[in-house]
Amino acid sequence: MSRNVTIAVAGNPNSGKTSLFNKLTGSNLKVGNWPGVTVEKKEGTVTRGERTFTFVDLPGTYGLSARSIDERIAMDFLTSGSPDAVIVVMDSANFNRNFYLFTLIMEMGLKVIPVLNMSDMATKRGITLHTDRLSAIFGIPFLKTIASKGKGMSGLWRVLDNIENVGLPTHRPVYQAPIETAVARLMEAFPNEAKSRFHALAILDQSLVIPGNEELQGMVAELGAEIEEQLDGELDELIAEKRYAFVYSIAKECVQRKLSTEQKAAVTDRIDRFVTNRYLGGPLFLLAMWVMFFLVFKVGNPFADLIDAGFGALSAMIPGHGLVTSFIQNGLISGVGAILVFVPNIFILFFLIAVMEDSGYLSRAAFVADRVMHALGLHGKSFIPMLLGFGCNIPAIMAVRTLENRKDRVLTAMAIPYMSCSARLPVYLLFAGIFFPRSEATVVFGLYLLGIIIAVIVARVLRRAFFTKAVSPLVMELPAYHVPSLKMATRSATLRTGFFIRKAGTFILGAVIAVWLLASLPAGVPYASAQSLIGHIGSFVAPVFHPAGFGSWQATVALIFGFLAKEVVVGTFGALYGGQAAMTHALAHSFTTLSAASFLVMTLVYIPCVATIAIIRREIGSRWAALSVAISLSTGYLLAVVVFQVGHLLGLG
Amino acid sequence: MVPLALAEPGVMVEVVSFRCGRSCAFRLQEMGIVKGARYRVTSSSGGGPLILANGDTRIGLGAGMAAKVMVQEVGDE
Repeated sequence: MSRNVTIAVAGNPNSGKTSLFNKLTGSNLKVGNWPGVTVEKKEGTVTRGERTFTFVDLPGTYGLSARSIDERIAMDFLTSGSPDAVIVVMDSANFNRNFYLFTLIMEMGLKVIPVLNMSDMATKRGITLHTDRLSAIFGIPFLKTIASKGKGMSGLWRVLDNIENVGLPTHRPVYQAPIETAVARLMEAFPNEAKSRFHALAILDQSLVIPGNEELQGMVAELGAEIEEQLDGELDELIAEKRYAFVYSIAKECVQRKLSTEQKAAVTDRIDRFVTNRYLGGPLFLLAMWVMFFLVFKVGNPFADLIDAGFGALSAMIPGHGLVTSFIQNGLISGVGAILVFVPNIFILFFLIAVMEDSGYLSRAAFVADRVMHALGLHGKSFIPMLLGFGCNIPAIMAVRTLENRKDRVLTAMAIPYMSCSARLPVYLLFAGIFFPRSEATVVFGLYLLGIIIAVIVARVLRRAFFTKAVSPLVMELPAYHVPSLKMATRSATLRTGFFIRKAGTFILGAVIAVWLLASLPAGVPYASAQSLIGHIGSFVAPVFHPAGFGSWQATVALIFGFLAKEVVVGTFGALYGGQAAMTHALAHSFTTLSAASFLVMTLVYIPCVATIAIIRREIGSRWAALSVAISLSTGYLLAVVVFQVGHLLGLG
Repeated sequence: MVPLALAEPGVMVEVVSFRCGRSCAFRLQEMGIVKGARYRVTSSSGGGPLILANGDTRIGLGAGMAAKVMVQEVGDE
């Protein structure tokens, strides 16, 4: 075998595949608890002696078909990515379902390294897996690992280092004679299309359609008719039945179960009875969300104040009144500092989302939401990408790939921009702190809720307008509850917060410098005055926002630059007003409580940031991206005006 | 034979057939809901989404899906 070896890593969702991949490659990827966390293709390269291994992390799938994007990605890579071998990661405690995927990959005629992961969990549940018997039956080594603890990795590396000595599996499912004959004929006549038994079977039962090859299609139709004449039943069912029978026969021989799991199962069921209860489930979820925001404030604010004081002291230390001083004080410290102040709050938000993910609660939330989502025309699983949107809309929109229908993907991607991402949080925090000091958590919670409501309405309206077919029903695995790993949550939160800080240091720094420059030009004008360039721009557009109550040119400019990234709204205020204290003071004077509310609504809804638009375009196309911009801009403006005008009529302003 | 959606919480059921198209049946089978498989129904809220339990595995089914899986009740073993 050559010096460069490509190894694909396949497995079911929740099989610990991501952990194993991380342990193999040493990279720091996120480890989650619910189905579908690994969407992106991830690669890692490891050099061992003379040889370089490239590991490719395939999306977690239950099967291999063209139905969902995840499965298609996995199948395409296994079909045409020519991996030298495939590591199939299996959850030992769920042998049958995991082994089914192994069977499919094996039938692709690939070299397979089966890894029975999470063997400690299986042992705890009274399940014994006889790897020696499995190895004897298939003639290839079966390994046991506990990837999360790094156990069994040296054994896996021993197999990888000697990969040329691993043969192809010697045992496989055998189908009824007419099907076997048809497979053989297909493989002989079309060796490029039916390149393995798996492919031949998939072509035969038409789950794999190769367009444009009429000769092949003709033969498939002919063979299919012949088989169904000789055998009773649908071809795809016949094949599936044999495969499941094969899996069960192996399990019977190699898996021993002692039923001692009642107690733990009882705990899970007891929690589920509350958490997924028809009447309690929804309110409990809302309560969990509210507690989350409460903690984001209560725990985060003291730290945020500390950082704020630090920046203030730093700014005061800079001497002089020249251009350079102005740049550092107004541009760097006030602009970027205004955003970095919120790092503690954002860290806590990410930390708590990771804890919910890891404990197994988040997938219950999706399950509970199904009824509501269903009624609203969305798929229950859409809920998970939407929740991810609280962190950042970009990975959330990428996560819509886990949905099986294009319709569900489009609708979810169109709904996600209304989920309040962490970039919007600084704006909320700043304004809520100034204008709603006693009810910060409630106001921010309300904004998040409003976002969800708008998201759902947008999805529903779009579904009415563009799609007709019924919602595809939900079936999802609910992982067992376990005590969340604080280490994992900390790592996940650190990674995501790190991304936020890097963004503040690069992209947003650039935007803030642009604001500072425009506020300092033309030469000679007082900094950030109405006579500066930015003042002119702002004053020109500002009348548009008069009906919404925030017609100051500063607010206008902040919204214009907020298009780059919503944190910039705060950064712009910081740079224009110069420093946290001055900014707080100035905002308190230029906004009323009512116009602050309408400004917050505007910030929540108006236009997804530039990166989100780009990702919508990439995932579902430019037409939808343009529509998303149009909807959000008009809805945001309209809502802000409504909030202000209605509030005004009620005498709140 | 009843649709799963009508099964009482707490009972043991055996999957008999699927009343849905090919791709939905496959989705269910991949998750381990195959003909002859036995599950205990937990957390059913009457017609709404329900949870099937087998050992430590929990599978959540939406209301739509629960209406498509035909089961028969079986006694405890």
